[in-house]
Amino acid sequence: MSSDHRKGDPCGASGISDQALRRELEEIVAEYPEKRAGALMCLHRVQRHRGGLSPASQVLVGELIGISPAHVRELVTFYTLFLEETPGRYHLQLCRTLSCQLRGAGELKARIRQRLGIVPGGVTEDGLFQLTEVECLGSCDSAPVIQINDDYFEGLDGDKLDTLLDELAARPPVAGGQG
Amino acid sequence: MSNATAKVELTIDGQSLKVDATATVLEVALAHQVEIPYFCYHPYLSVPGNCRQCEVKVGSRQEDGSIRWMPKLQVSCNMPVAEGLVVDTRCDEVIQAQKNNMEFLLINHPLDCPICDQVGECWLQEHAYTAGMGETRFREEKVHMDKRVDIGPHVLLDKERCIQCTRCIRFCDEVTGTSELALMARGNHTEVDIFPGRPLDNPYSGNVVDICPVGALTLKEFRFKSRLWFLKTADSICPGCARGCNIKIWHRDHAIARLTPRDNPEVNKSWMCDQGRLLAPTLEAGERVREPRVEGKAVDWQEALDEAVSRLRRSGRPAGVIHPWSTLEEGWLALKVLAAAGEGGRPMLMALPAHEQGEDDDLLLRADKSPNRRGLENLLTARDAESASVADLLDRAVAGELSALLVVGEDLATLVSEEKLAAATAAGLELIVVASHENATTRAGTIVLPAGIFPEVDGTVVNFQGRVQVMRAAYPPPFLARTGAWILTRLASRLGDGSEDARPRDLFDELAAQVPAFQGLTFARLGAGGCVLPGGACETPASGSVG
Repeated sequence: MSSDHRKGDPCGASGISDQALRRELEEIVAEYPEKRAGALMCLHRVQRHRGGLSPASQVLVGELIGISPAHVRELVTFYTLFLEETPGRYHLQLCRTLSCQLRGAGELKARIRQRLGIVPGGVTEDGLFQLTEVECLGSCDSAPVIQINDDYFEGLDGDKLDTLLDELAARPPVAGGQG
Repeated sequence: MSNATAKVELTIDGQSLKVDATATVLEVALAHQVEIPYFCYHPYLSVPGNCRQCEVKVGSRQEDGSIRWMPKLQVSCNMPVAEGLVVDTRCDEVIQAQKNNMEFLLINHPLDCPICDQVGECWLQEHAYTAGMGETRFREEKVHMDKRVDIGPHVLLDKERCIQCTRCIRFCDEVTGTSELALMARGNHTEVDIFPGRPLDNPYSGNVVDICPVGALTLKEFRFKSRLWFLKTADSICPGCARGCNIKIWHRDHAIARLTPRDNPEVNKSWMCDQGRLLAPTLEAGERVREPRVEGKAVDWQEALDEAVSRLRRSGRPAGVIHPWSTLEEGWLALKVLAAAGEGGRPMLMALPAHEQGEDDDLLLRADKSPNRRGLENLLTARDAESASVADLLDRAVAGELSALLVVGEDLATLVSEEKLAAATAAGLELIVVASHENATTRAGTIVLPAGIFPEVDGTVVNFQGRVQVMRAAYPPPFLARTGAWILTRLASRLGDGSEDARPRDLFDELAAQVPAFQGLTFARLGAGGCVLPGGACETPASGSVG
């Protein structure tokens, strides 16, 4: 992440060119004595830049590390943190495990539905927000928690969530867009 | 196994065995008729040990004679043998482990056996009989997945039936090197799949259907075609190319239902190519020659054979054309017929056209699309036959040097133009045609003798490695057709060479005694795995089923 990273920055908004991305991946692969060992790091890098792992980017990673696209997809689908599709600009990952449930995760879910009209798995029509329910984010002391892209937003309630969503919606899209 | 290999002594179920030190417990057990159930193990693939069905109890014998058992059961497929190893495959602990494992495997299995093609050769069903619960304790909803996924031109995937043994994935990784398949997602959601837009489309894709222990992968061309117990089988050799893959012909009502490979470690292991697997439609296409004909008129066999003999004899020096699909016996007989019909003094004239297509690959496929070129070449050399091209022979006919041509299996019009063929017959060339299907040559034939074609033919063939192998007929030729050997023994016999009753095996013994390359061989020695020329080293493939 660059140093001017703001909490909740949109994912997939780096605007990096295909060529530059390829060069970055090649550098990653060169760090490993065994090319395949760079697989996960390559996938992370692509996802950071592009927001998700499109079929074309999976083919590219496979090419660079010398495995078939099917075996790349095997990795991508094994890890729940890898996304095959580019999510909405703000990927709301709502924790649904016990502590968050007890502290009001259900209300947050209801509030999101009411405000944005989406349920888990859904994306808003403008592509701005996507909601996913996830298992424990390991931040029980500050429940309930929503992870938005790479950042945690902790100790939320209905009002705080409203303010947060307003603020995110008001942010201008980063130059280069979603790529 | 060479003598240099180190041996160890171990005990399996009380049976003391001296075995190769590099073997695994499962390999030893299978080789000695000790039954251990398994799904994911395959002799020609790597060992992942993921199905857990082959677990056995292992221990080591101590100096005081007692046995020290390992605290947990071990998967026998991945357990190397060792000196003093003691294996128990039948104790309660092992039986219970098999039952437990089956219960897990069946939790999400759809149990749609009544509509599943695998029935009759399903290992899950097989082991469910011995280690199944009979009744499920699982009260929740089974995981549901796609049941008809089109993953390639020949293969259909049912994700619900899959037990994730990964045999198909390992086949694509290790044998074809194409890696189209992989295990996607995890836990309950795990499924075999392709990458979108990259289908399972390699020349050997059908093999994943054979090695799938359950009904998850089915062959489109065989799907819902027949229950296995309605099919008869014959062990034969694929005629599709010079490899001569060992195959099983599954047939019903005088038609091929499917072809599957048979294990031969020296030739095709337990694989075959899709071209060979799907040969049946090519063989069954077109119109069969139904009855013997003399100058376009249907006659009985007696008359046709007599007439053929008189024309051959009258010509003085008949020549021959033989298709390299012909067996050694047919080739041998054709040479006998030419020799007996000729006036002697001059060598026989024989064409053995080439049938090549594509290139050799590094697995099985050969460019030479004929199963017996090497064998027939050996015969021609041994009988000092003068080789000629078909064009050459027809030129001689036009020049008035050749008046009768015995054509076995070939359609001359695929080798030369129809005009050239017509010019030769117009110049008086009489064609004595032994053919299975109607074509330009049978239409031009003076005498047409309807013959069988694979899989109606018994005989021997020699593959590109020089391995003599036995082709077995699945059913007799249709209509009035007879096998090439039947027809040619009768021609030879009428010409005074040999008896009408010679069977293919007698003919093989006869030619083996006379052709140096085959010396020392007899039909009886060929066995299941065939013998290599010259010298005839015969190897029998390892026993035990390879599924």
